[in-house]
Amino acid sequence: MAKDYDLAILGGGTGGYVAAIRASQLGLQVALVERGEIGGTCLHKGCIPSKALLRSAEVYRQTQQASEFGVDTNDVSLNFKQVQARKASIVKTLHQGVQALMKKGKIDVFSGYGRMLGPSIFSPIPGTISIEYDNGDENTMIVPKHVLIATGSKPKSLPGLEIDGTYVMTSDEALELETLPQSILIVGGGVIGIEWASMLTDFGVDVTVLEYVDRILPTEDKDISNEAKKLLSKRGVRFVTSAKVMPETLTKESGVTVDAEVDGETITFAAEKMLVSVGRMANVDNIGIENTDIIVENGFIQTNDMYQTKEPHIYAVGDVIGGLQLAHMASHEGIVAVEHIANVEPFPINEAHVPVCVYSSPEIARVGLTEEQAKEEGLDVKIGKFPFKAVGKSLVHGETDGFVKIIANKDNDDLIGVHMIGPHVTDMITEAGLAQVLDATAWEIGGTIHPHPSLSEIMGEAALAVDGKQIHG
Amino acid sequence: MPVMSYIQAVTTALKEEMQRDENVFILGEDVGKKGGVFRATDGLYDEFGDARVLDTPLAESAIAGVGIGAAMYGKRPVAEMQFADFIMPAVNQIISEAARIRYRSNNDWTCPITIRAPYGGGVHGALYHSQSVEAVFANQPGLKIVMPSTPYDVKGLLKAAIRDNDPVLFFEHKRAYRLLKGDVPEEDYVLPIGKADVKREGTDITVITYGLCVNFALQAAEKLAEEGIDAHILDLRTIYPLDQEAIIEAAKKTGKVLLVTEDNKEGSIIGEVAAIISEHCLFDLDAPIQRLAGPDIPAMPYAPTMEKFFMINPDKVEKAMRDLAEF
Amino acid sequence: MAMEKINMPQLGESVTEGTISTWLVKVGDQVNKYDPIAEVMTDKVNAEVPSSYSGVIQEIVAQEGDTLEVGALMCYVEVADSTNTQDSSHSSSDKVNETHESVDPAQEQSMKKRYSPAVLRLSQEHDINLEHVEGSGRGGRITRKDVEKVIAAGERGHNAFSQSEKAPETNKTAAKQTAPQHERVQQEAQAGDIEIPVKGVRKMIADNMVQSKTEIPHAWMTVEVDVTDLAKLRNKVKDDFKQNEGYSLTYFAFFVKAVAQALKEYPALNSTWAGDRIIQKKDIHLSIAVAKDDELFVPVIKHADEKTIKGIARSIHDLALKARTGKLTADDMQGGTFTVNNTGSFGSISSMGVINHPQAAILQVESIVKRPVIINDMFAARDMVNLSLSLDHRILDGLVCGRFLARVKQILEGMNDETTSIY
Repeated sequence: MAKDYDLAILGGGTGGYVAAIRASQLGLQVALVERGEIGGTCLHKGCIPSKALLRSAEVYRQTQQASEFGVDTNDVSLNFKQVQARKASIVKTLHQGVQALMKKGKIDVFSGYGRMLGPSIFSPIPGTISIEYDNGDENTMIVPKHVLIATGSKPKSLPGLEIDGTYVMTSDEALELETLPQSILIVGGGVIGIEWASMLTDFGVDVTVLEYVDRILPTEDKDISNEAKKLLSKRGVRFVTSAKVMPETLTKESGVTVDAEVDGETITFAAEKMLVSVGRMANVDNIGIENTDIIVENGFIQTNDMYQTKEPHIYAVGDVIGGLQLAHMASHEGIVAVEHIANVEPFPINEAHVPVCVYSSPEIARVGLTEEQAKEEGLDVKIGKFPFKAVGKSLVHGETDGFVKIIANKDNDDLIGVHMIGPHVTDMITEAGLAQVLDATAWEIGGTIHPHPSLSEIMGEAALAVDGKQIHG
Repeated sequence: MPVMSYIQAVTTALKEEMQRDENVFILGEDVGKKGGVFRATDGLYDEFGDARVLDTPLAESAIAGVGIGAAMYGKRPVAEMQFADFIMPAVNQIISEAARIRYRSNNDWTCPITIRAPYGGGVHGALYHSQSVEAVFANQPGLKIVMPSTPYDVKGLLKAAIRDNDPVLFFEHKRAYRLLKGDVPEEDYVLPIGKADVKREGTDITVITYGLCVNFALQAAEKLAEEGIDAHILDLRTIYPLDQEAIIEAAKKTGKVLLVTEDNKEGSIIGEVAAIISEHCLFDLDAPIQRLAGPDIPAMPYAPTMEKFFMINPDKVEKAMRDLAEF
Repeated sequence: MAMEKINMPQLGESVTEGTISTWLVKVGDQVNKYDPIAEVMTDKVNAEVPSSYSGVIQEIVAQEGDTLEVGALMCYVEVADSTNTQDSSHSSSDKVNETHESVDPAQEQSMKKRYSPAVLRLSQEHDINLEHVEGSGRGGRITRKDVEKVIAAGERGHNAFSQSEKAPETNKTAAKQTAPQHERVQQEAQAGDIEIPVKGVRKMIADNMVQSKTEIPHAWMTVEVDVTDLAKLRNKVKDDFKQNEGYSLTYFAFFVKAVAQALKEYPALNSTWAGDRIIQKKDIHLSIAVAKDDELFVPVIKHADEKTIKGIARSIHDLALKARTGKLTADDMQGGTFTVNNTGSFGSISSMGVINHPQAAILQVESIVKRPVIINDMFAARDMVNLSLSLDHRILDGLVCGRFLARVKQILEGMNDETTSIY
C-alpha cells in the first residue's frame, strides 16, 4: 500500500497547487494529482499567457503612438512569432517556479489522471484516489484522509458551434495561434471576449463582438460597460449587442459566416476566424463524483463556506464550484479549505471583497456590488465619480481615458462597490479591496494621503466626490 | 479510555477471551497465518499458535460442523465465515444441529459455539460480499443472533457470545470495521445478549434499528436536533430473540416509530418488530409504523450508483425520520 | 405571515348586529382557531365570538360597548400561514349542512380529523374535544404531542377541555364539531354487507345526536296518565272534525296543547343552557319529530301556547305533510324551545328521548293502551298513556320536572267533553 496521505488534491491549477503549498506548511502529507502541467489554466491557458499577449499588443500600440511622446520610431511592425515566444518563455519560467515550490513543500506530484473511488472494504468512505497514467502503467491507489477537488473548468461552446481549432476556436486554441487572422468574430462579450477584442484590435485584427444581452461585460457596472464599449469602439472594435447567434447557420469555407438575429433582423457576419467565449464549464465529469454523495448542481460542485462537499472529508475549490471563476479566488478558497482540514479555523471568504479584473486596454477592475445590484438590494446609495483626465499623472502617461466610480451607502457610509476603468486600475483596485476588508468608509479613503503625482490620486478624489468634496473636479 | 475501531474491538475481544479461557479457539478460512481477510484475527495465530487458531479448507459446512462438534465436547469454538454470504453451505449444520441440540437431547447436551461473519454492503462488494443474512436464521429457536453497532458493543457482546452456553451468530458490519471508532474500556466486561440498548433519548420519534444503521440514525438525529426534532433511538443489539419489552417501551415513548434495516424489506427482522409493536402498542401509536429498508431485489448491485440506491445512508434515514416527525 | 381580519359573525338567524360586551383577548395574545375572543350580546343571545384563525392579536378595532353590524371589523390577527384561513362570517351561516362543507376548506386541514389511536385514547381519557385542538402534523393532523400539550395546559383551563363548558350558542356554529367521534373505530364491511354512506340529513341527525348525548347530562322521568275522558272526547268529535277541516284530529294535538300550557307555568323547562347562565325562553315553540323513511325532521310549531287544539292539529298536519313532501323550509325547523315526540305512534310504551340540543328537555308521548286500573279499589278498564321526560340535568332537577309532569297529567286528565274546546 502507498503512503498515508492526509490530503490528495485533484488538479494542479492555481486552486490546487496553492492549497498544496499551504497544506504542506501546515504539516500535512500532500499528494497532488495533475495530468497536464502544474499551474493549470491560469498559468498555461488563461491569465498568464493571455496577459503576455495583451502586453505585446499594448506595447505595439504605444510604440505606434510613440511620436506623440517625441520618440520617433520607423517602420513599427509586429513579429507575432516573437510575441508567442515571449509568452512561452514567461509561462515556462513561472512553471519552473511552481514545480520548484512543489519540491520545496515535499509535495508528491502524480502526473496522471486521478479519479475518486467509492467505499471499499478497506476504505469505508469514498475518496480513495486511483491514478491512471497515459503510458499505461498500473494505476496508483492512494487512500487519503481528505480529498480536495480542484479540477477547474474548460471553455464552453454553444451547441452547434463545434470547436475545430481552425475556424472556430476557444481561448485555448487562440492562445496558440501562429499567425494572426485578418478578421475575427468574437461570440460572447464577457471578460474573456473583451480581453481578446482589445488585444486583437491592437494587433490590427478587424474585430466584431457579438453579445447576446443588451450590453457587453454584463456583470460589470453599467457605466463601466458603456465606457469600455465607447473606448474600444474608438479603437475599431465593432460591437453588436442583443445578437442572437444562430449556430445552425455556421459555414466554414476559407473563413466563417454565421447569422445572428439582431432586433428582429437576421444579419450575416463573416470573418476569417471565430472565437467563442461564452463562459467556462466545470470539470466534474469522469472524476468519480458518482461514487460519492457529492452534489453537483447546474454543473458545479456544491460546497459550504468552508468548501466541504456533501462528503465532509472531500472539499472542492476553484472554477469547479462556480462562483467567481478567478485564479485568486481559487487560491484563496484552497487556502481556506486546507486550513479547515488542519483545524486552523479560517475566515470564510466574502465575495464582496474579491477584486475582479479585466485586462483589456484600458483595464477594468471592481470590488463589491455594481450600482444596479446595490439598488436591487434596496440600498440607498451615493456615488462619487472622478475622471482620469483630471489626474495629472494620467496626462503624463498619455492615458486619460476612464474613471473611478465609488458607491457608498447613504445611510452609514459603508463602501458598497468600487469600479475602475483606465490605466493600471488592476493594480490600484487593491486599495479598494483593503478598504472593504478593513470596513473603511469613503471619507476614510478620501482622508488617506495619496502621493502626487500618481494615478492613485484618483482613488482619493473619487472617494471625496462621494460627498461632493472632490478637489480637482 | 482507548479509542478503537470496530474491528479492533473484535480482535481485542477474541484475544482476551482466548487468554481467559483455554477452551476458546478460532477456526475459519485464512484466520490463522493471514490473520483473516479483514485482519480480524490479526496476531492471534502468533500469540496462541496453530492449535487454537485453525486455518480450515474452503468448506463452510465443515467449519460449522467441526465447531459444533467441538462445542458439544466442551470447547468454546469461534468459527469465522469469511463473508456472511458464504454461510449458506453451513445452514444445515447451524439450524438442524446447533440450534436443536439442547432441545433434542433434553438438556443433556449444549452447543456453546460462536459463529462470526461480516455482513452488509456499501463497500463495493457486489453480490457475494454485501448481503444481510440474519433473516434466514431469525425464526430458529435455539439460535441467538447478535449484531453490534459500536466498538464498545462489539467487545462486550462478542465476549458474551463466546461465554454463552448456546449457539450465537455474531454478525459484524464490514463497512463498520474501519468506519466506526469509539471508546472501548480496557477492562473485561460483557453486555447482555437479548437486551436492546437506548442509544439516544428523545421525545418526538422513535427509531429502532441495529448494526451500522444505528450509526446512520444517530447522525441523522443530530442533524434533526438542529431542526428541533428529538429522536429516540433504540439499538436492538440482539435481533433474535427480540427484546420485546424494550421495543414496546421505545415505541410507546413517542408513538411514531421508524424501523430501519439494510436487509431487503420484505421478511426482514423489522417486520417482526413492527408486529410486536402493533400487538402491544396500538393505543399509543400516533402514526403508521414506518419501515426503511433495502429494496426487494436479489442482491447488492455492483455499480456505485446502484449500490447507493440499495444502501441505507444517513440522508435516507434523515428523510424518513423528518417525514415521520412531520406526520 | 399574513394579517387577517375577524369580523362580527352571524351569531344566529335574523341577527343583524351585536354589541361587544367583553373582550376576552388583548393585543399581543396568541389565539388558536376557535378560541373565544370576545363576548357579544345580540337581541337574541349572548355568545362568544370564536377566532377564525390561529395567530396573534394585532389590533382591536371595536371597543367594548360598540354595536357592530354583522360583517363589521372587530380586530386584526397576524397568522403564520394565510392559506389556512376561513372567513369568519360564513362559518356561522345558518344551514347546518352548509357549514359542514366549509369545515375543510384548506387542503392543509385534510388530515385534521384523522385521529391516530394514541390521540383518540388520550383525548378520551382526558375528556378533550379534539375539535378545539390545533394540529401541528401534516395536513393539520392532531399529533399525540399536540394532545399532550393540551393535557399539560389543562389545569389552566384550556378551551379544548370538556366542550360542555362551551356556550351552546357558540356551538351553534359548530354542530359540525362533534362529527369526528364517528371515526373513532374503523369499521370494515364484510362481504354481503350493505354500505350506506352517511351524508345529508342522516349525517346531520348523527351529528346532532352525538352533540346532544355527549354534551347534555340526561336524566329521565316517566308518569302515567289516564286519558279515558280525552279519548272519549276525541272519538266523539274526530269524524266531524275530519269532515269539516279535511284533516285528522290526532291525540298528539291534545298532548301538544297540554305541554304548551304547562310550559307556560313552568318556564324552567322552556330554556337553554348558555354556559355561565340559563336562558329561559319567552316564546313557546314546540318541536315535533316527524319521520320520513330514514330521515327524521324536527319542525317547529311556533307559539304553540297561543294556538287552539285545532290550530295545533293543523300545524302538525301541515308540518308533517311538508316533511313527507320535502317542502320543509329552514324557518319551519328553527327556533324550537321544547320537543314533544310522538313515540306512541310507533306503538312504544316507554322510551328515553335524546334532548334536541340546545333545548332543556324532550317529552315522549307513548302509546295509549287500555289497561286495568284500580279506581276506588275496583278494577276499571282505562285508557292509559306514559309520558317520558328526558331532561338536561344542568338546567333542571327532578323537583321542577316532577311538578311539570304532574301539571301535564292534570291538564290531560281534565280534558273532557265539558271542559275542553277543540276550537
